[in-house]
Amino acid sequence: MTSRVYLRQNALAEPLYGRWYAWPYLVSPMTAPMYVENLHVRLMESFIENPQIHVAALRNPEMAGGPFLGHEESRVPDVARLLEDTRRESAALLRFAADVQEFTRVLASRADGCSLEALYSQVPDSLRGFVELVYDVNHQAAIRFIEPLLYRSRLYDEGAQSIELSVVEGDDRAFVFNTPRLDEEERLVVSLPFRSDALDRLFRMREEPQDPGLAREALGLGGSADALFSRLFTESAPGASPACPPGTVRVRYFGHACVLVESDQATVLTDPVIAYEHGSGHSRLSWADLPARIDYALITHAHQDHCMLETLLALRHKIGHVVVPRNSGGGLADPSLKLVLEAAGFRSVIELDELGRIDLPGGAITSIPFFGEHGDLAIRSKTTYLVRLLDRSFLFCADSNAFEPAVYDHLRDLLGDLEAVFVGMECEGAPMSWLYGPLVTAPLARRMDQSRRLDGSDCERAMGLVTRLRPRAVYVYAMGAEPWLTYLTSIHYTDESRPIVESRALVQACTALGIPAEVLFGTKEMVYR
Amino acid sequence: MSHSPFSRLTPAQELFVREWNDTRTEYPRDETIAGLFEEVVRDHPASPALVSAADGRSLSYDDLNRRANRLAHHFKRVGLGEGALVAIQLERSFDMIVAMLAALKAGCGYVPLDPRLPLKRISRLLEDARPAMVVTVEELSDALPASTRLVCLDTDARAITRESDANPARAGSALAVAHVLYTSGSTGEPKGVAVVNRGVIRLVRGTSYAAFGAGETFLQAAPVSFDASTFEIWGALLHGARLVLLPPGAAGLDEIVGAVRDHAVTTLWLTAGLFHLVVEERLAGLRDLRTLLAGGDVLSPARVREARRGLPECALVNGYGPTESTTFAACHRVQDLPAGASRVPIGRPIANTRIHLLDPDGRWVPPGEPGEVFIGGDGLARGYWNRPELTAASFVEDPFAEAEGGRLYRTGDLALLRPDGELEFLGRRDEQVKVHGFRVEPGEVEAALDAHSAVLRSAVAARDAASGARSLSAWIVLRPGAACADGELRAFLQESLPDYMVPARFVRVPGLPLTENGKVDRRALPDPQPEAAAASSPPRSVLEESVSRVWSSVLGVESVDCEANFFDLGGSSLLLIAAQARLEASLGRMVPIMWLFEHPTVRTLAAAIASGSDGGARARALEERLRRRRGTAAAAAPETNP
Repeated sequence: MTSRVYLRQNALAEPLYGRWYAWPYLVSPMTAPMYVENLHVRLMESFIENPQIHVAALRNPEMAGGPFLGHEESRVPDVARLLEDTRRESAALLRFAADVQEFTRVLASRADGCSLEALYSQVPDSLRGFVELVYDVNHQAAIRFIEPLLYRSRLYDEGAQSIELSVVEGDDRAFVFNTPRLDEEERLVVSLPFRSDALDRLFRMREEPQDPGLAREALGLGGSADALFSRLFTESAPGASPACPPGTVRVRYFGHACVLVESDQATVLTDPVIAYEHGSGHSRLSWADLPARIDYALITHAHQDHCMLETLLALRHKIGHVVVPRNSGGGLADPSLKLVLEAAGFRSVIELDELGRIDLPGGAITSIPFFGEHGDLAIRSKTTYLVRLLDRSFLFCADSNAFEPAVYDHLRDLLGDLEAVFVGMECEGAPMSWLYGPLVTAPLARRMDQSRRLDGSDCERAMGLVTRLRPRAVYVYAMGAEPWLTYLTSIHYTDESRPIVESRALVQACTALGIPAEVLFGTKEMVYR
Repeated sequence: MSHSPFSRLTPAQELFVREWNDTRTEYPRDETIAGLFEEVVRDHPASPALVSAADGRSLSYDDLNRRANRLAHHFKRVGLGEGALVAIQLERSFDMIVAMLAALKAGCGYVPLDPRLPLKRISRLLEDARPAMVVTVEELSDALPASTRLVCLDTDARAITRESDANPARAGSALAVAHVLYTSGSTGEPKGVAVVNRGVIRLVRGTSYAAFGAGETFLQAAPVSFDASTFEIWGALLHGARLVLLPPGAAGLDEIVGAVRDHAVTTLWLTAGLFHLVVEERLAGLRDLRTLLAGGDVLSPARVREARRGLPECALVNGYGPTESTTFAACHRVQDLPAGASRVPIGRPIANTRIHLLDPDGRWVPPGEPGEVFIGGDGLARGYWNRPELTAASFVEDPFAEAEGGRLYRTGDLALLRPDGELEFLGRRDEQVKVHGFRVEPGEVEAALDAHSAVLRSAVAARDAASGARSLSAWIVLRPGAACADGELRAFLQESLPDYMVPARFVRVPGLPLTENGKVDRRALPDPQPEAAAASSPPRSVLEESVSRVWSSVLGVESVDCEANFFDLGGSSLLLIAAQARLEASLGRMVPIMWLFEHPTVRTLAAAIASGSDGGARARALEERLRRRRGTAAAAAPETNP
């Protein structure tokens, strides 16, 4: 292979943490131990004890996102070996997770409203110097983690990060979060930290052809990987994407919550999740449809399908700045997205406070409060965005749940005239344990869990927003409905699914008010002249 | 042990002990519970197996079997493998028995989970037992930890009814775990006793301490998380007999006696405390019983004599045994108790069970001398679930075994062997106490108390109140400057402990008395002061006067504050049942037990009685709430050793 080749549109590079698909909470050394202990280890133990329960459950596609490990019973010995390796290699993390659990209990029983200083002597070694003990003004004691320090400790193990390379052949990728990768004959794994420049060299090849030998060398792959490696490349150039004409604002929907807003002066991409073009299935926009440079990638919140490392890493070479909501700092459930993304090699990560603003040529990006969808946990790392280009304003609400419409009364002046509102309506979210269970340190009853769901707006709530803000158009997005997203969302809608019923109702209600509305699916392009 | 375990006995005594322990009988020791049940179904398909005491509905053996089969097939379909553990979080009901049978048919063991337990307790039990699934119904599942895998009998009903109702392929074995029952642990963690199929079968087949057979009717009154239920359920269902299920929730003496009368119950088990109460208040109601078993704590010779006089035709059996040897290890059929007798004997080892009374060197003690009770034979549990060290410490090598691998369970109980071959129970070797028949390790309650931010140190022990009722007391040393009301401590403990482990009285002390070797000297703990005699809120009406008199008598105090909570005055659910019975007798009218739970002060209870119409929907709503809040002593039959 001496000729210059392109990285295929459907080449896949999955970030892994150990043998598990990586997402922000597996990058932060504050949260990763909790997931290794309370999700990975538990899942593996359960699979080893009762593999048939996992196999039987996953025969039902509706169970795909559940706590089931997706291997056949014959892989029990391999999972047992992986569990053993995990216990050995992640001993420090498991210790940390157990100590957090135990010390939380000690703190709850010992903090009586008097000084907490005496309790420092009882802080377990693994937490010492990494935590401050604090009360809120209501005398509830809590542990404040000094998260940046943890990134400098042995709990942050870049050696556990790797990239698995393969080719996407269809839209049926299995749900990624609950199943570890086991040894297979045909696995191509690059053992590099996420921040490695070598990845940028590889991904740049989607647009610029290169000698694949150079890329292979940069990735540190031996010659034995040739056959697998060469499958990632093609000699044919990708189709060129037409540029946004001057003087216009173009809005292109890439699926889920990923929307590109561009003028000839600035490009903004929300919650990047890019589909792979593999020649079949519903038509889609893919890598080749993105501009050469993305000035700002906006992240609304830390959920896996919104802060998607797989896509972000593949776009890193062309992203100018990543914009993230500022976290509360120190809360176990609220790791810093800035730290996560800086650790993942992004050089410019801008944290926005609520109502914080970044000026753009001919516009601005403004952070607008995001309510709910996080199980009522004190998570500040969430925001919606007002994007203004050439005096056209678009509000991207992601999964924010408009159960408190009064906030929009306060925001009306700030938001001004809105060209369009993009509203997420995944109004039948998972119970909070689905995502946050591994972080919860006190027993969580199903009753609590079922009531604290990761719900977006339903029709009534979204209409509360629409009637207050009166946008010129309403688009329902972030539904996870595209068929190529099931590996992230495990969503299979039917006509009776509540989010579908509610979003149709919203379209009707908007139409009745004379506001054009549409449920986005697959692709969509709007041009404002 | 280099010396012979019989070195302290004469040859004649040794021979006597050997013959005394030769309890072997023929019984299906290599079968499984599910296999025997299916045989019974073949022999008695149309006989009623289950009867609901609430409404008289019944379920035949054939129908029960078909329902259990469907659920067993469903278990397999959802991937439950042989040897796994299934937790059952259901109220006493047909479904609960169906779930037990289905688990056994699938070759699994079951862990009963009392739906009334607080969340923290349930979490701890589930973390320890690690069942593959929890069988429940939608409504009760709310109280389970979020991460639990469920089979919901109501929401999954469509899938379950589609399953085959034929017997599934045989699964399990005689030595497979049949159920895991949790009991108090001295280190602060509850421990699960893993009872095997053979242990249960030897309890009810080829044995003679009670009458078994298709003509009997058993009452299921004990909570299924305690091992008297093993006797009740399998004593009936492995013989083709009827099992009458008391309704879930609080049951007073009238409910029990009423069920016995309405459904012609022949065989009844009562925990010591409840037995005493029934003898005092409702003995005549048990006239038609054929067998009355009592135990779980020391029986009062006076009450036993009364029972013999009142029920001359009924066999009265004192049953003894820890869960670790599957419900009963020894039983004594009471004939006449001599006038001067201060103890009711616990009898002789039951069939296929051996008992040894050993000194600290492991030698049989001569008759008449106290020794520690070691139990061997087919009733022995496999050990403590997931606790190899604890198992090794309590299940020791059997020096008397003919074959290798025999084990003895070391009970911690002290007893003596009388010359006539009857055992007498003397007490405990350690701190373990019985409260209303429940086995409680004070260490477990202390560990829970020490987790409170105001508590520096604590000690827990059982003390007998003036009324004779025993209750737990806690002595606490508060942290400097800290204060904490009884009610707050009680509420705190109720978050993590079952109700019977929550002390009735809290005594604040400046320090705990220690023995010479530095341990807490429980005997030197000061007696809890009786409640202030001068009631701050005296009775204001004749009715309040009557209620307050009944309360004083059951609580063993001179007077009570009409505004004080029954449970804060040292009351327990068992005492509440006593109060109800006496209240009805003294007022000459019905006072539903639920009223007493709902109105825990003299004043509010008197008001409820006066208004008199506190029934209907409101009572049902209360029942619902109370089901979640408090267990009932009516069903208090945890264990069978005194």
